Amino acid sequence: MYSIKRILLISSSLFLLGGCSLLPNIAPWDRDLLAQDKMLVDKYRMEMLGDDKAYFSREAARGGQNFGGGGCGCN
Amino acid sequence: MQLNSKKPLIKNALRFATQSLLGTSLITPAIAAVPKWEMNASAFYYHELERIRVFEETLYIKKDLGNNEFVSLKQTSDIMTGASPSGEIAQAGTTTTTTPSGTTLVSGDNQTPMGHFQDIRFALAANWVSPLSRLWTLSSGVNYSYEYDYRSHGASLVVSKDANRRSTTFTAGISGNFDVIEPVNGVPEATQASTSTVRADNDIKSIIDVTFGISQVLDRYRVVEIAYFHGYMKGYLNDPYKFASQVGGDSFNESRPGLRQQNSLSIRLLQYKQKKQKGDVIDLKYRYYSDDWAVQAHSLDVNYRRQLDKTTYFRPHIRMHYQTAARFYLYSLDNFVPNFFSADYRLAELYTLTVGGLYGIKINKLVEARFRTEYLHQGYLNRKLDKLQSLIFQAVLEIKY
Repeated sequence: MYSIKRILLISSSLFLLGGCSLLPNIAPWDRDLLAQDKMLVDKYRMEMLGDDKAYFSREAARGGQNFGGGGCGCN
Repeated sequence: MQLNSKKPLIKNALRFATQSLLGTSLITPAIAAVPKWEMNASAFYYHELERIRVFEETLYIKKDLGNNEFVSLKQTSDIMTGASPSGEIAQAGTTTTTTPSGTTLVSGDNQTPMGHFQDIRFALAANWVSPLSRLWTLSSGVNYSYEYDYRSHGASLVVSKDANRRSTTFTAGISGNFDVIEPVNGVPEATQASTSTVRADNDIKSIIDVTFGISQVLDRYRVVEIAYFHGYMKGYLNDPYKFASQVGGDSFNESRPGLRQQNSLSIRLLQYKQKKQKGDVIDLKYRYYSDDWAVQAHSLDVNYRRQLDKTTYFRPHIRMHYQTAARFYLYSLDNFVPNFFSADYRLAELYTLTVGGLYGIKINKLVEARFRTEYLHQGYLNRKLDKLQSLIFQAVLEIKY
């Protein structure tokens, strides 16, 4: 129950921030470097999948990686 | 003729002006041609010293349907062979364990008992990204994986909203997985002797994952992502092939709680480092994890992409992970068998250190090839556990057209 309340609090806070002007507002023409292929957040998608495979089955922690998937992680 | 040749210029200038005003060029340069197809192929090999070996191939195809709508398909299959510690302790003399299936595992004098296995997995995932309005996007996906002793079915929904002239993106997502566990010769009954023949045909596990994230462009060079993750798992959470043993005595099937709630908070920073004609990229990621099994973990990932020349680069990598032990983890049982226990080394207090590097080469404007190798070392605070060492090799081909 505590977790659900916490999730709702975090989610509503994040969406309320949508209208917040305190966050940096960078003009599109100043994002030329960020638009480069090497700066894409999922540039190394295939490497991340490999890492997920290795760490998911060798460590107890989870989260912050790809959504979904499947497999038991046994052995 | 002259007029005709000027038309594309005027068209591009108008497109640039429109996109600049609407702020639609965060990811894609305003005038550059957008690839309609993207294909990634990967061959991944994981080799543990004296333990398991995994070979995995993955094929990922993404199609741009226009108007910010995308569909993608991911297919994975892997083969695992080798041996993994059964959870039982090394004992003086020869240890013989008889599993419910009647298989006899024999380990030598003071050697860690190992369970031998061979497994093949096939997985398929499909995803569809569609714009709901100018600033809202919905991503929906389904996934399925099959092993002869495990099946997983899942679906996910992620909604995102751009704000601040697309300098900020908020994301909220939910995914559900329904898994069926069908171990070889049935599901062993928790806390019973490993020789017990009482077992069910199968069992189930349900997983609900929720994430909330924010991605923020900080300036011309930096993007930061912060994400919160909550995982809720219920059902059969044991590993059916793990046991715990008494010193000089019997072995028992492990028993974990049937509920697990996981939380993690991660932050990632991508920074462009401009150097004359070249640009390097720093990629930092930290994750804090905590669950109600009393596991807490810190993971730090550091990557530095160094541009060697116009077409090649090297990306060294280091990752550090530390976790505390689960509340019910134990190395061995005494005479009393508790309700919950597991001797699975992955629930022990441990650290993992990974070092490696990736070499990338842009073959032409459409094709990039990448090769990487990593060395992984896992150590345990309980020095009686054998350390784990493994090597990772991966080759990736990325094609955009």
